[in-house]
Amino acid sequence: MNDLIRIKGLIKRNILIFFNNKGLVFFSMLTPIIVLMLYLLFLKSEMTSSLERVANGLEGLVSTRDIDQLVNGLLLAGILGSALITIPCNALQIFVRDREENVDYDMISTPVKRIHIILGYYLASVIASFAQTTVVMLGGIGILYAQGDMYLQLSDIVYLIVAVFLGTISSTGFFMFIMMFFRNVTTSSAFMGILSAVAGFVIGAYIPLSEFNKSIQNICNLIPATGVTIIIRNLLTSGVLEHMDECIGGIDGGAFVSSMGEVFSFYTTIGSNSWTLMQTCVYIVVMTIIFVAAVGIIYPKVCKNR
Amino acid sequence: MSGGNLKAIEVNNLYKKYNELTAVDNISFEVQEGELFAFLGENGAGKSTTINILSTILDKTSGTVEVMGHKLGIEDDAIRNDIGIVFQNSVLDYELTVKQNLMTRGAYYGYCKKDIIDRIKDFREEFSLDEIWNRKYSKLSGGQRRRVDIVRALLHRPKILFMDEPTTGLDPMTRRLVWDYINNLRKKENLTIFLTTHYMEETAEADNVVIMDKGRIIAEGTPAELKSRYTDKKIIWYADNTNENKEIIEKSKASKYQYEADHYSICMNEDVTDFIWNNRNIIQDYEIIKGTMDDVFLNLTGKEMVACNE
Repeated sequence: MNDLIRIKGLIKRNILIFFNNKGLVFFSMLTPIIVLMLYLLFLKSEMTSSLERVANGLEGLVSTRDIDQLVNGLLLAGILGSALITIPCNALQIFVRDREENVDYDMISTPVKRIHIILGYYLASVIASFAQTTVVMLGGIGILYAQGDMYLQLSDIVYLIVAVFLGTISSTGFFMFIMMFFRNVTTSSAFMGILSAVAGFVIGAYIPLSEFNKSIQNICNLIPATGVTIIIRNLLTSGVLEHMDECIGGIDGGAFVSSMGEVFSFYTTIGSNSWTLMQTCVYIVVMTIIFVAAVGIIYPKVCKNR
Repeated sequence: MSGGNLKAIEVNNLYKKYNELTAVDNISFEVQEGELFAFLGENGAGKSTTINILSTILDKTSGTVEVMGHKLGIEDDAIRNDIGIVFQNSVLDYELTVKQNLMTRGAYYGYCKKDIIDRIKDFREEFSLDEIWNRKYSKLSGGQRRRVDIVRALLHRPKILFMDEPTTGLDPMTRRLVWDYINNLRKKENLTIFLTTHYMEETAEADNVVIMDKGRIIAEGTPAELKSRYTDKKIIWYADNTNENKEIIEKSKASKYQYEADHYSICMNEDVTDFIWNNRNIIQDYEIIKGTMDDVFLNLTGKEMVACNE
């Protein structure tokens, strides 16, 4: 009972600090904003025109509006995927700052257990990132609906929320592991800077992963955030793709839809193996458990003895 | 002044080593319950390290420590419930309001919202928290922050309050205020206060003072003991500068003397009374000035500096 109050107190503190720090919240959204800008500036027109060329071969069975919505879905998947990397990472800056400024002394000199402290940071980051990403997602879906039918079902939205949750727990676990080794905010910010630049590429938001060479693709596919993005991409665009397939009416034997899946990485592919979405899910969960367990074991040792 | 005969803190042969550096080098001391105990030393003397070890934040390298009868390293949680700490640099969150800061800290001790409000009630008036209750910590003045820091440290009604340089960086007025709070608390709650400071004058009010230098204890005792042991008394003798007078002084046990404007200032450790008594016919207009804690400290650490220079 007391332990619960303690963890709740820690979580509340960490969340309040994050949302009260406008700089942190803004920078956590920087990469998603850049993804959006790049789409609006040129990525969208480029993708739509190349998709339209393919569609022309299908005697106009695929409508321009559907192509538009497919690209919009890919955009939103990119925004969410990068947000799931940068938001947890920024929320965890508090963890590094507390250590640098010895604010954690205030925690470890109370009866709060080390494992509660680490849980406090982890869960606070999970809750804050989940809330923020869900708001972005629902806002994004709202905007897409205003532009035309997304063919999304209520169940898809529920799955999307689950996928976002999976993304937050895995990303937070992964970055918590990394942040544990940073002793000051200067280095962790430098790391953040690099990460913000790389995030969009790793998950295939700027350029589809299929454009990279095979070994880089394999590495990217092993990153849990990429897996989460793949799941989100499937959920956001499957409705439109199915609708397109119906419009085409089997003339191409489903070739259009399956080539879309290949180009825009709809499945985790390691070497020549392609995983089902379920396998990707399991992989992400396993990785999460490994990272969280590693943090739980290492942190209490790093905490003392300085 | 010391209230009880119970030991609040007992430290034996404490060491703290970092690779090659020995931050705390075999120190032993006791703090009685209800006492104001001061740790005096320059920056880097090992004061904060010692406090951090006593408050379970850092691991000791060796030695035994008991806090309120609880063994350090074994009954750490019991110790944590009995101590409150005012850190040298504030550990409260700048982004949060005073209320949010105190409420979240209260939760660390396992108190629910209502409990915390009840506990803070007394402090709200005494430390005039009401006016700043919903203000962000970052928007508070130095003195206001210190007030909140102290309330934070007292939230769970600890038996020992550690204060690591609580008045460093505060203006003289605020320093006075902080001291008023500390003295009030001692009277009201029979709180043991463990203070570190590098302001010598602040230790004058302590029951016991330990002076640290380079990780070691170089002196300990009550301020009065330390002053008589490590400083000379100074006699100001208002008289003309004549050879006769000089002779009298030179015959005495004065360690040093000089004539300034209209008086001699004579440094003397013992025999001050004898000196004056024996020369009572000649020495008529005089003052005796005891050494200050500054002198004690400088005599102990900066060896060549002499107490009589004020």
